[in-house]
Amino acid sequence: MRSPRPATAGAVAALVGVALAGCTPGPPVPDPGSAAVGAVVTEGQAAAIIGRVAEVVGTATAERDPGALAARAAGPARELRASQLEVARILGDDERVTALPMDMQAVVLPSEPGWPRTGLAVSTPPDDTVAPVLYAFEQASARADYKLWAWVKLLKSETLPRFAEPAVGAEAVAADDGESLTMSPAEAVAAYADVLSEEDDSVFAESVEDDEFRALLREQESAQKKTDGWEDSEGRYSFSAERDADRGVRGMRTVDGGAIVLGAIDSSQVIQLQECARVEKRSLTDTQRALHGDQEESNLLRTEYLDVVALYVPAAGSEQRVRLVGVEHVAVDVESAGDMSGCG
Amino acid sequence: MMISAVAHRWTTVQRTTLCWTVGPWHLRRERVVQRFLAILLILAGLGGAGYGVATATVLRESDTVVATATPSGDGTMLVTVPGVLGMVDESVTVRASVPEGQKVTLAIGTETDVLGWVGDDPYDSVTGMADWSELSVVPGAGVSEGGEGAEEGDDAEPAERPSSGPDPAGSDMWISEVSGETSVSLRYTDQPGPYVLLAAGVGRGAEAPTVELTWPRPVTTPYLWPGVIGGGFLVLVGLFLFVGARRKPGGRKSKASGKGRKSARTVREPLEPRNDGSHPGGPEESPYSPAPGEKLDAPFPPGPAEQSPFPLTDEDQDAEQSGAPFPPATAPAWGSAPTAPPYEAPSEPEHDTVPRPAPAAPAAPAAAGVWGSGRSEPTFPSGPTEHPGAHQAPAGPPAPGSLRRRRGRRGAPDPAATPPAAPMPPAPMPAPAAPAPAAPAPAAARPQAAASSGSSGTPGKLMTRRERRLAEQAARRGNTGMQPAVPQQQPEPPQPEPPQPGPPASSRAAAWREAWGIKDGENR
Repeated sequence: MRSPRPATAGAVAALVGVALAGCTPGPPVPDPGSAAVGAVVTEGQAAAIIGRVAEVVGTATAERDPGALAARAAGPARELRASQLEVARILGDDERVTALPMDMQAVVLPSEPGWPRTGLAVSTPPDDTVAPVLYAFEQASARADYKLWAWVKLLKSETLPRFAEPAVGAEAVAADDGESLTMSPAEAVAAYADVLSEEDDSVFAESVEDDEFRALLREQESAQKKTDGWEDSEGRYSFSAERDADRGVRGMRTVDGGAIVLGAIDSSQVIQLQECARVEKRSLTDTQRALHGDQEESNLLRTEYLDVVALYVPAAGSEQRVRLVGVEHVAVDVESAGDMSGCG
Repeated sequence: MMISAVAHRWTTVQRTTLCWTVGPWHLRRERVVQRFLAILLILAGLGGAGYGVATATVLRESDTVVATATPSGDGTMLVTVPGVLGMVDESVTVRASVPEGQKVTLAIGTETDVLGWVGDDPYDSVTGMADWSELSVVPGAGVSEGGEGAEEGDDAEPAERPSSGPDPAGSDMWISEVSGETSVSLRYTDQPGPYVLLAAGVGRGAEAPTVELTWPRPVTTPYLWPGVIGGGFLVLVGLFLFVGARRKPGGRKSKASGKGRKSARTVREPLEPRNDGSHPGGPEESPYSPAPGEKLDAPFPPGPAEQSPFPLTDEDQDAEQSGAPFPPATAPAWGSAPTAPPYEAPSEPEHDTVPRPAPAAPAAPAAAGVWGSGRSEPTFPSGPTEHPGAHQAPAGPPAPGSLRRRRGRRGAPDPAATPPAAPMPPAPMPAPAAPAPAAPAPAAARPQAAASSGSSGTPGKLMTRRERRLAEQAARRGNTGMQPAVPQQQPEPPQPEPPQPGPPASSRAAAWREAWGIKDGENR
């Protein structure tokens, strides 16, 4: 009859012990979750970034204040826009300022964690007469903001190749990556510049498809040559283009293994007449006139352009050729460089 | 488990107290132990219930978890590792404070972005919880990701002077951020992905902020109901035990004083003493005072009265359950038959032949009355003896009429002497008597045999339900040492005999009927 006491006491003690032990779990341990795969920028972030860029660019455009662009524009885009705003300020007219609608129909987001990071976006054109704009944004470093690096107006006949889904993100292509592509992005831009300069004489003539832009330039040249007195004044026309190595190139991989490459090309158009002949200011475009400023008319007119080209560079082994998908061709400087001192 | 163990012990205690004849000293000791157990159980139950309630009230955990990270002093920034923000709940409130007047910025971004932003600057890493109120902080490893790009950027921030904290505010990479002076807080709901917190003291002379993370926590009270219910149960068991310990001595006293309150119990309890023929009385009888009481009553109707209690308790229930009218009627046959009746029956009918055939009907009620009063009114003994006789008597002379009438309801085929009819209730004995005259003897003999065999305990097909039940009861009693088993079975063999006198009885009945001018079925 003794046994019940310790047994009962033990059972009670066990019960209480279990109860008490159950209420003091250790602190939780952080669960890092699965490693992030896909774009390092979410679509939401991209929309926010594009919105901020659009706000700054829009404000700068409205105020024709090139200086205000610095916060959200860099590279060729900043230079182009600054020039356009300057021209607009001189002309007192925004007609020559490229409209940059930032209502995007598609975005291509970076998939790599490092910097610089590049993304692309294509605007939704307000109507069929306006070409969509392809933008390139870049975050140069972790502590830097995303900035508009370049834009091109897509060619009417052109269809962009397919990119990976925004959530997946697209790989950036190094400027010198010549192994995965038929030619490296830097080479492609240089080749295109060479084709612009040399046309059929270029060594890359077979590697680059002909396009609207080149046709346009040819048209300009022939039109120039058909102007009144061109022959009489021994007019000479030349157009040269060269890759702007300082501004670099940006490329993003497409689904088919190729890349969309954006690069800057410095081109210059030179019109030279016989001595003491004048390239009349009134024959120039508005932009040229604005840039001409109050320089004296002369027999030599050099117009500097900054071209931003968007090229499709096929994957290595492809039978396709490099082709232009979009371009922005903006005169940034006009120089009346003839020596008129000996002329009456 | 504990409870069952206690219950087991308790029953052991009870059994021992019941079975042993112990002196007052032992009794008191047992009682003390039992009370002690009871109190222990009650206390444990109250404790358990109290603890259960306490876990839901006083001991209830806070419904927030607040953990603080104190910077180690190196650097101006503090970064969590992935998962820390959602460690307790996906919704977290971050509060960062720096010395009065300084600026502080909180930002949330992916680990890559945050560490990329931090770059090579020293920072503290919050790696988890040291305990429920402290976050563990270790110096973070420098990350130089994106360092090259910074130079390429147009307006990348210039390298900070060591004493000046860079401001992460405004970066495109943060999904959420807040800046302010002295103290800022930020609410964040965890999202899939390696999102981390960056807290930075900003400006000249900045130091890393102290960060406090607050999560809501669903507080459950898992011990409330188990505690209350389990405790309540223990208390109940304890109370039961306690009351048992108190009442037992009381019960003994009352028994000793000869007061038998509960007849049902008292009826049963005598079984034990009766079983042990060794103690016919003495001190032991006192606990079972009712039994003696019964015995006192019994003397007059020694046999039947004594048996009656048992059939009564068991059979009555059965009878009531089945609701059949005949069980009571037949019961007497069993009850009365055992002792004298069987042998008297044959002779008695002779005396009672004339008495009344009609009584056959009243006989049932009468019998019932006998059983009903059997206990309380021993004066009836004469009745019982007579009635069994009367009952059997009709079996003789008036059998045709009365029996018919009775069987007619349930066993009209009876006259046809079909075997199925024979297995019918105990009445069968008389029953064959009726057909006997009209039908060939074998027919009557067979049912008898069947009846006898059936009643003798062989659960043949011919046994009625009641017979089987009785047989089972008998067997059970045999097993349990309960009494009636033997006496009940014994009467059966004798019963087959009454039928034998049956034929003459029936002929006598016929004569009687003739004398009275009663025809078959007229009684109906």
